[in-house]
Parts: sequence; structure tokens; C-alpha cells
Amino acid sequence: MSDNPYEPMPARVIGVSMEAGGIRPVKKIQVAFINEEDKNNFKNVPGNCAILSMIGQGESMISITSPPTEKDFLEFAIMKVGVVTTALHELEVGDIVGVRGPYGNAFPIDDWKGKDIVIIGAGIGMAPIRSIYNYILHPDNRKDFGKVTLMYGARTPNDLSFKKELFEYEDQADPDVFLCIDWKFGPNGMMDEDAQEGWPRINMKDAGATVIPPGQTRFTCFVPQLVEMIKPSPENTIAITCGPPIAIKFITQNLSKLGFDDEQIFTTMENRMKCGIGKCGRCNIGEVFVCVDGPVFNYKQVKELLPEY
Amino acid sequence: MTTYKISKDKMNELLTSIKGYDVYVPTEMGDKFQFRVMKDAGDAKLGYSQSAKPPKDVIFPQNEVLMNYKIQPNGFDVENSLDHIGKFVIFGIRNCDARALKYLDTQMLNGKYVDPYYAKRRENTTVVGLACNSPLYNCFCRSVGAGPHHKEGHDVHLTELDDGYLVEVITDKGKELLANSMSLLAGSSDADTSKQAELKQACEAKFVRKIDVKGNDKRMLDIFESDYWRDVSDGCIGCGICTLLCPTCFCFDIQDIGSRKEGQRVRVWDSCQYPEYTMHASSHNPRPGKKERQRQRFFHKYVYSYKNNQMLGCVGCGRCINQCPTQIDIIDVIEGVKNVKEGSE
Repeated sequence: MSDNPYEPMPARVIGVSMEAGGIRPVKKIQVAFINEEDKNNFKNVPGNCAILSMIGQGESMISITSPPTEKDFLEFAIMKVGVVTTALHELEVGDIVGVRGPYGNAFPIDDWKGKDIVIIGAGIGMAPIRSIYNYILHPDNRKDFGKVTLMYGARTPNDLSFKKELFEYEDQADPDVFLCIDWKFGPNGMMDEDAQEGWPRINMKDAGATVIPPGQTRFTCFVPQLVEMIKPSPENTIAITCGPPIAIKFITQNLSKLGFDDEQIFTTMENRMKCGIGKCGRCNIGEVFVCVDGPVFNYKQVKELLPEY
Repeated sequence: MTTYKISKDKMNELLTSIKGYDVYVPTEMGDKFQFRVMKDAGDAKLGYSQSAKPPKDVIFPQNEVLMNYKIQPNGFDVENSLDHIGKFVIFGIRNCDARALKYLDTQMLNGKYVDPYYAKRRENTTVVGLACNSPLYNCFCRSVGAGPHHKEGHDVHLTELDDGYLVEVITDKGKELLANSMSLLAGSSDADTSKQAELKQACEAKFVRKIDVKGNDKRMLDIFESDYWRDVSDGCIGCGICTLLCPTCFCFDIQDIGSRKEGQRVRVWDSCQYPEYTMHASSHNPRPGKKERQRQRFFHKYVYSYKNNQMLGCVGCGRCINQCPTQIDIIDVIEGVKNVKEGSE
């Protein structure tokens, strides 16, 4: 490994899977370092990001979606939105990609031992927190934590990433999984109907008053409403959420209403980044550089930040 | 520190005697001045007022190739441009611009990571400062912790006297630079030193504008969400000139040029005044308008930098005022904070 933090380490693509379709498709790319030394030096923890580079195309900061329990590879969930992510979507097994990192702070998972864990993702926001549930659900670590609840929503079933593993978890007794897809929009706004067969609508006006049929895990609603309906208990619980800024805002509000303290709620605030090492300037929120001081903050810390995110 | 004197007619000879460096000197370009690599000692216009662009680009170039690389069957073949960085002299830099280098050091060299490109160029650069004897109308270095004769960040400090230059050799780097030129230097007298003090005093008396920064950061934070920031940025056209000509601005982008097989990774200056700078892939933008973008500029310089590095991010050179096409004036903006009623919208 070079001591130049800008120099990418070569990694080989060992797996590609389509995670979500639509106009902004998501692919999961699995890569393995080519040099043994790079592999051993790269010590990621849930919450970390890495910068992927495509030669001649550029670099992008992407959160590491695989847990550190996976020693042989790293996984990234990449939404196709720009030049670099489009190039990343064209990767095939055997291709070479550059990786530098890991960057940023971490979710304080060790402090959460013995507690119940609620993970709430919206859209591509599930990618950075997927590393947490897969770490916790790993047979080596599962006994250290209490009940695990996963809540996740996207626009349509097709937009749900990590479907394969989430549907498997859905069928198991552990963890508790709740999925949702967005309300459909008609000419008069949100339509009070099931967005798709098998995804029954909740009480649109008052999510908390919904009567949940036994065993039902899929719903038509927005993720903050899902939280309001499932009502996770704040008792000895940590909630972690990530998604579009507007979703984070309402999810957090609803958790607070359920009695969660600010220090029980964690999120990751991934601003646009370029250098990843606190030099290029753009990811700041006030005096805080998200790439080195973040991206993980608890809600108490978020409230202390200047309101510019 | 050792002090010498050189007569004016020997200055060109001194410049010529510097070998093994790219020597950047202030040169004339139309009605402006510009630091350029000296080809002939006669190019150096040491009587200049202020260069249009600060010479920070010697150490932090506007475009800098970080590396060239090629894909090989088992990895990358990287040619790091770090290995090709030469040695530089910035000759005749003003105190404000030299102090800006000290500020850039806090950003690029401090913290968890060191920027290796900046570090190497900085290490390889010798800074010869030139005391300022006549400030421009919008100069306000004295308000932000510096002054026209400050020597912070200088390896050698020159002061223009009537019959020559006082040469103060401050660091070992400065000593090394002048090692071959010692025969051109003479001893200085007490009269020279008192003349220097007199010039300093005379220059300080010429400053017209000033900012009172005491307690200002707290006041600014109190009105972070005020419409004051919308009002002061109303005329902004988002050209970014205030940041591109700023000696302390360090924001950059990293871009690639090339094909999928080989390419160049290039660092280019960027600006917080451009919407794309902070725009997320989702098109969400934490700083969606000019209010937020100009506010970022003022807060970064006057609040965040001080919080992080106990140094203001403004050296008072006045370029952003002189060059703004819509007359946004950082002195008026910062001073105006005092008159904003707390909590008023």
C-alpha cells in the first residue's frame, strides 16, 4: 500500500448483482483486493465509506455495505446516477477497480451490546446500515444483541435493494422484518389504495391506528409511517436510520414521539465528497468535515450541527 | 535572524544568482501584476502593489496532475507526479499572501491525513517576502491579525528602503537560498532599521478600511438562519471569483481524463460558490442557493477556520472586494453583522 492517500489500491470484481431496477438502478458490486497486503491493511467497520475509482472516469465515495465479518471481499451498492456510477455499472466479474479508504468514523456497535436494535432504511439509504444488521446477525455476534428489527421501504418492490437476503430474513423467526412501498400518486395526490397486490395499505390518516393482520410484513406506506405503525419500544433500544434527508427527518421525529432519546438514534449523513480525507472542503456541515468527523452521528450531535444538510 | 542590505542596482544580480529553483517573481501583465517564472531578472517588478492572483498556485496549482495510471492484468501501473516536483522560490510575496500559506498549512498538513502533494511543494518552496509600504484602498490585513510588515511564513524578508533593500534572513531555507549571493549583500546599519520602523508606521497609518473581529464569530452564529445572508448575497451571480482569487481558499475537485485503460487523475480548484460543488447524486443540495453559498464563504473564513485552527481564513488582501463584479464587500458584510437584530428575519 502506498503512503499516498490519493493512490487507489487495485481490486478485482468478483461478483455483480442487480439489486433494484427503474430509472436509477442499483447494482451490488463485490470486490476483492488483488494485493494481500492491501487486504490486510484495510480494516473497515460498519459506517465506513470507501472511494471507488474507475480509471479515466473518476472517483466516487460509496459506503461499504458488507460487514467486517466478511474478510475476503467488500461490497458496495451503487445507484446509477452519474459518470462514475454509470462506469461502475458496466463492470463485469474479472474487471479491475480502484479502492481507497476506509474513511470516516463508525457506528459504536460495541456500545450497543445487550440492547435491542431497530434498523430503518429508506431507498438506497439501506446500503450503509446493511453492514450493521449483517454484522449483528452473524452467528459469531448474534448472542451479543437483543431483538433485531429491520424496517425498509422504497418506491416500488422493484426499487427495494438487497431483496434476496431481506426476503429470506422475512421468512425466518429472527430478525423481525417489515417492508413497505410508497403510496401511488394520482391526479389528486396520494391514492388511498394498495400500491401493489400483496402490499396492503395502512391507515393513511393515522398510521398508528392501523390494525396489523397477524404475520403481515409488507405494506403500502412511507417509511416514517411504517415506524409509527410498528411502534418499536425505546426500552433499552438503539435505532439506526438512513435514507434521503427528508425521510431521515420524519423517521427521527416519529422515533422521538415513540419515546426514543436523541442519543438512542443514529444516522449517517453522507454529503457529497471528493477527497475523503478532510481536504477538499465540500462535505462540511459548519466546522465539521463529514468525511473525517462523520459520517455517523447520533441525533443529539445532529441537533448541535448548524442546520445546513 | 541575520540582517543585511543590498543596493537596488544589485537586486537583478541577486535574482540571477539563484540557481536550481523556478523563481516566481511579480511581473507586469497589462495594467495588472502576475507572479510568473522569471526568465530575465528585468521581469521582476518589485515595486508592484498586489498581484491579481495570489501566488498560492505555486504550492497549490489550479490544475495538478496527481498521477498517471494504466490498467495491467494484475493491477495498476501508477506513475506518481509526486516524484517530479521541483524546487520553487516565491520572490517578493506580500505579507498577506505569505500568511495565507500558513493558513493553507493548517488545512493541508494538519489533521488525520497530510496532503502529500501540497506537503512536498511547500517543503520545496522558499518564500521571500516583501514588506508592503503602500496598501490599496480595500486592504485590511491589520484587522485580521497581520500587518504590512509581518514576517509570518517568510524565509527571507525584504523591505524596500530609499537606497536599497533591507534583507532579513529568517530561516535555514532562506540562508540556503542566499548562500551563493552573499557577496552581493552588505551589512545593515541602525539607520536602516529605524528607517524600516518608520516605513512600517507610515504604512500602517495609510489603511483606510477595517473590520472589528472581536466577538464576531458568536454574533454570526446567533444569526446563522437570518435573512441577512440572503440580503448580502442578493447581487451574487455565482461566478466564484471571490474564491478563485482568494489566497486562502483551498477547495478542490478530483477529476479523471483518459480512457478506461489509462488515464490521468487531476486535481483542480473548485469553489463553494458553484451549486454542483455540494449537490448530492440524488440532486438534494445542502446549499441550494446563493444565500447558503455566500454564507458558507463568510462562515468558513470567519467562524469555522477559527474554531478548527485558531486562525481566521481571511488575510485581508481585499481581492474578493476589488474583483467582485457585483460589489459584494466582505468588510461591509462582516461589519454589518453587528447591526442585525438577533432573531430578526
